Amino acid sequence: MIPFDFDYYLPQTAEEAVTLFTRLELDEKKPIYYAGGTEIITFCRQQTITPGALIDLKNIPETTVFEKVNDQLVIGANLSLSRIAEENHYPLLSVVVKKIADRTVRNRLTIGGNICGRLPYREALLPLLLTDAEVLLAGPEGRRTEQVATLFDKKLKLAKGELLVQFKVLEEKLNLPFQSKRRVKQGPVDYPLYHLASIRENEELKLAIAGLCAFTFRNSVLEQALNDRSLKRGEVINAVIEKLPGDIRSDERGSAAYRKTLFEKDLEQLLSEMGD
Amino acid sequence: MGTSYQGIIKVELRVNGEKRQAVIRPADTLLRVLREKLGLTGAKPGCENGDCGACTVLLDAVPVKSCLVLAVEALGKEITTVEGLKDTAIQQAFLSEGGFQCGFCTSGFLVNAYALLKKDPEATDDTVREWLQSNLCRCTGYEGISKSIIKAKQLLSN
Repeated sequence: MIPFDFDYYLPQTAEEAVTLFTRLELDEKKPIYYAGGTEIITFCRQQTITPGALIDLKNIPETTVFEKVNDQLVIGANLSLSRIAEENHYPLLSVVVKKIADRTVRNRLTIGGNICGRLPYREALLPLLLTDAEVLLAGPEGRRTEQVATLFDKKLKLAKGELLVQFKVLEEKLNLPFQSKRRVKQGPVDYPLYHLASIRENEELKLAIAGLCAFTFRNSVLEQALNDRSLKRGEVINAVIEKLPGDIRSDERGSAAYRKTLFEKDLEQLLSEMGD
Repeated sequence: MGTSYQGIIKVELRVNGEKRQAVIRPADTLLRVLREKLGLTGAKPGCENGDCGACTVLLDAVPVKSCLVLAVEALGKEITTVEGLKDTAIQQAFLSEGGFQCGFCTSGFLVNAYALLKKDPEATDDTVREWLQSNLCRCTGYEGISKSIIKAKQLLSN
């Protein structure tokens, strides 16, 4: 059980949610936004966090749309991962999110929650980084649209009281050839050692990775190395490893050396299957 | 304008087709309210961490781990617990095929499998595996559970 009390709010619009947040923050009620709730309930039970108010975003209609509008796929930030996979408007995103947690938990996990949560993996970000997706935000200063890559550069850059409304992906990028490789230490329902996602666009490979370093990333310098046709395959792999934007992580799931060995194999396979 | 709940609140939940009243806190999980306020102890507190699936119930026909759902989130929705499955094919199959040992995980498996076969009576092995990865059996009685799912599919197809 959660051993402390909080208030619960269920706004109907993003602006109502933001206004509530601002008011509750001024009243020192320690508000937080709430979507799927799996992480927040766990942390509340453990008393890792002790909010005074939860603002549940799931009733805001524009945050649960999943449809093509003009030349873009609009992905509501509070869509469940299960629904994203079932309706399958974006195959790479479907494949990636189906590997997160288990089916029953995915019925509650939201794409926005997976990206904004405290866990470092943020695997749902991978397909959005690869396709240069945009994100619509609402906050005390109003609405803004940013590239996902700008919003997330090693860490999430949200202003206080800001919330994710929607992601937008160009339709022309939805069905590009792709690969998703998720390595785990034990069974399928586990946090990853790492998760690679790749697309091939205009004869170039693009690569985004979660769990290998301390943050999820897509890196242009690394991609230059990946697509350097003047290098032999082994040289490409070494160049990519050298150009990782951070140290390979070492934790209870696996050492850095273990991750590196697996990563080299998976890069080899990626180049073999998706490269020239 | 939206809704809000503060302090101790009296609510009405729709559970297994009936309206049930309960006095709850916004911080109460659905699992705790079902068990401690409504006496529906079928859903079990195996881990209360979203890992084991013993607390699985249906929310508008969708399986959820009730330890990770606040009771206030279930207002206005149809909650189905294992107590609401009356003599279904999946229950018959679990009985006939020995799909349980200690029984602690069983309600979670029953509810999840019921929802799966309701949605997809001819679910492939891969789909069954995908759905039931959400539930753990510490008795490791998975073979009996697998046989029960196969039997339930046969019963439904007949």
